[in-house]
Amino acid sequence: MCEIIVKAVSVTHSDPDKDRRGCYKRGYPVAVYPDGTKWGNEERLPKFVIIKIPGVPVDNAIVQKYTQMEYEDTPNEDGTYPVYRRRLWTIRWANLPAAARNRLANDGELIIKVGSYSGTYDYTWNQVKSYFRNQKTGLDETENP
Amino acid sequence: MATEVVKIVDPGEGEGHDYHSLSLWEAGEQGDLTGVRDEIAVAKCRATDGDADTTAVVIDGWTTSATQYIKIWTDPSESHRHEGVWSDSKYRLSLNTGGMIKMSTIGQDNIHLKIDGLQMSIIVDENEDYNNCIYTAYRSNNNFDISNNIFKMSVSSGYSDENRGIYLQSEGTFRIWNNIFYGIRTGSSQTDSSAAIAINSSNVTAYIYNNTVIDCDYGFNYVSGSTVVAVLKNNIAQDCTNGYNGSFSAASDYNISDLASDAPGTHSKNETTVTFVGAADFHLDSTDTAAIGAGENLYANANLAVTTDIDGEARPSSGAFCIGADEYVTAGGGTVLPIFDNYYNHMRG
Repeated sequence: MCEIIVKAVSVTHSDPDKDRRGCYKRGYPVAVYPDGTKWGNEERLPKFVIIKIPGVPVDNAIVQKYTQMEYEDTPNEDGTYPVYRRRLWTIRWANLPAAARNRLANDGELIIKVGSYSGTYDYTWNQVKSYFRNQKTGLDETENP
Repeated sequence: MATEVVKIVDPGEGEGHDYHSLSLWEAGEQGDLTGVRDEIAVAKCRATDGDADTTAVVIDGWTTSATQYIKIWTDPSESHRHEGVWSDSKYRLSLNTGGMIKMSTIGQDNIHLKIDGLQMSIIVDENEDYNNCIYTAYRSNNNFDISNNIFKMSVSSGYSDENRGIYLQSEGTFRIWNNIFYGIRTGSSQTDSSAAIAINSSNVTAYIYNNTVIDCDYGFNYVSGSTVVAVLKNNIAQDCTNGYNGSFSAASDYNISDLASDAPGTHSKNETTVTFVGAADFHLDSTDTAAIGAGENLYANANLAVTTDIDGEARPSSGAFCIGADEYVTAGGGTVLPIFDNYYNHMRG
């Protein structure tokens, strides 16, 4: 089981370029941790929410890709690539079902059922995966962890 | 006056921890420190169960000032700071090339930042370049204090190059003191290009005092850049391919190299070997005759006053400093010249 910690509030910078390149926005997945993580005092509302995905290992490639940064296509003169956004993927927070948004706002977590998981859950992966969007391609998630 | 807001970063989930990693701390605390917050954002790092912090950190999107800045440190009054020697039970940022965000453990953008008392390690086991422990890229108006840290690399990849402990590729003012660097090398199939500290930007002012560099391609490498003032004082470079490369400020002095015609400064020593306590313990050994009591006193230096060493032990307010990150201290608490050494029982180098 893994847990994705997701930004629940947007940070803004007065410089639009720095705002895009540098600032975390609501819905950006920040990190993936194993089941049972004892979250810190600040790793919860109002700054973060937790997406729990029972049965999916922490090193699952589909889940891990959500924490990748988005880079520009053109490299610096030394061959390195500038960051374009802090995260390539985002959760389309505003488009989530109202019940999901309320659950996040009230409890700070969602439990997503994947595969044969038989415990309690809020939604299945098939119900929510399309809310994960690749910001570079504009395409929503179609794969399963 | 800005308020210090201290958050605890502890991968070991110790009592009262606020964040699991420095990266999560940055995501949670990021913002404008100069406005309503009027804040010094402090990450106090711990390692309750000895686990390393293994997530790369990017510091970006902040607004800071000289009095409202970011401070990342281990508190010397706690047990989580190294004791001048790398420790796998103390707080450390440890990354593998395969698992890190490309290029840097810490990349900064236009900010005021202090980093004190950390350990940073990169295991370079894949053919990736630009593995930098602290990297500032293509920015301006940076103002960094980097002190009392230990940087090390283990490079097993034959084709990895351009690795650095601190890579200054931004404009700004940088004060770097009491740090230890070792093993920052280029892969065996590449031409030496790695360095403990590299400057590759115009409009840089750097005060680089009392650092110890061991077994790196370059110790201190001024690669390029116009209007660069890099003052090097009281530094040690040993077992490097090139200890000091480039045109450093004429004010540079009291540096040591074991190579010929290398260390800048009229009082600097070349072809001089420093004796350390051990293979990975770069405290000065009691038998050392090169660095102990041989440096310039920087206690009241106008650009960067150095009052303690990497262990937090006092530097002398008058008289000669020791060269390098360690101030040799006797059981009595003072620095001694080697000639008097036999009269004291040593605590350590």
